[in-house]
Amino acid sequence: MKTYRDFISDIVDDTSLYEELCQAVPFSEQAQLNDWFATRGYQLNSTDVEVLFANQEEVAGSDEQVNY
Amino acid sequence: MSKSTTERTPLLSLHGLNPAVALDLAPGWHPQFFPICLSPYWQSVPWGGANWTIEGTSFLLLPAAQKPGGYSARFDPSSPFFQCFLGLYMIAPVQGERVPLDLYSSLVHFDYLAWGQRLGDPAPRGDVDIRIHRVGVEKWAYDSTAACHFDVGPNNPQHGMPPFLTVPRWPIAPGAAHWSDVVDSYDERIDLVRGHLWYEGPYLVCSYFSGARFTDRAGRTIDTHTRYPHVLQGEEETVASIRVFDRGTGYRGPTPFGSLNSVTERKH
Repeated sequence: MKTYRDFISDIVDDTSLYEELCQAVPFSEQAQLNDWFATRGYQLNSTDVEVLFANQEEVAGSDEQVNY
Repeated sequence: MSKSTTERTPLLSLHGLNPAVALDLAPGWHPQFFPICLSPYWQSVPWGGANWTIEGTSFLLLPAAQKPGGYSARFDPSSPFFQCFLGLYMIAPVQGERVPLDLYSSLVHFDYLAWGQRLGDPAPRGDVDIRIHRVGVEKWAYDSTAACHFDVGPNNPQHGMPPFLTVPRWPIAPGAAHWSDVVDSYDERIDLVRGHLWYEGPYLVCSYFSGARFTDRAGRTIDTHTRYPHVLQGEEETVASIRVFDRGTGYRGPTPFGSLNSVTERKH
């Protein structure tokens, strides 16, 4: 099983995988996010899941932005 | 989220922006990109006898809060990360042509003015002195100083910013560290900024990481990178890990927000 770090390396070469992820977010639960990666051959550790799940806010809205 | 003191966090920009960015974030930094549209501030950048209109994004990263739910250690004088930042600019080509490296210091100058304005500085400053040297094929390193102001003061916005960026005007508890214990509001500071410049296809990418040199209220001169070498090392390693990937969809930045219309630049 590959890691999240492998996923990041892979998407630099295969941006379609990144597009898929951008289409898939936001996940409503961390387990859902975990499953998305697992079905594509990536096993995320708990920190990766937490960070990625929290970062969905970046996509969801501007409340967490530093607009200036 | 428990982490060891050396573990790095893989971080990916998820905003649908293009090009996208990934890196391995050092401990002590908040694991989230803050993408900022700088295009409104780069509408008239003087260079080569002309004024350039530049489109670009800053993928800003800030030090983590010392306490859960608190504000970034960037604003906390008790932290080794006080006044530190890192990240990168993604600069779009102009009419299909790469933006020249020589514009970089002017772009940074306007970013300082915009940031200072947002943090309530009545007369923001960002006078950049930069030295660039080639380190590879289409890759350059630079070091620079920026004469600027602290971004802490009584005008720091208390609304409209996430808690992470909302700096209380007074200590929130007796004995709590607060910028006013250490420095004067919007006082003079020198940023010591380093990074790399390179081209990814038509895009100019400019990484940056900073420490600060300043004199505190006790009259001591402090250089944060000298005093806290582990912070410097973490910044260097994070910036060295940056990966940029262009999905071939053309430049796409965040939504523009402000403008520099209300900035009155202090002349020195």
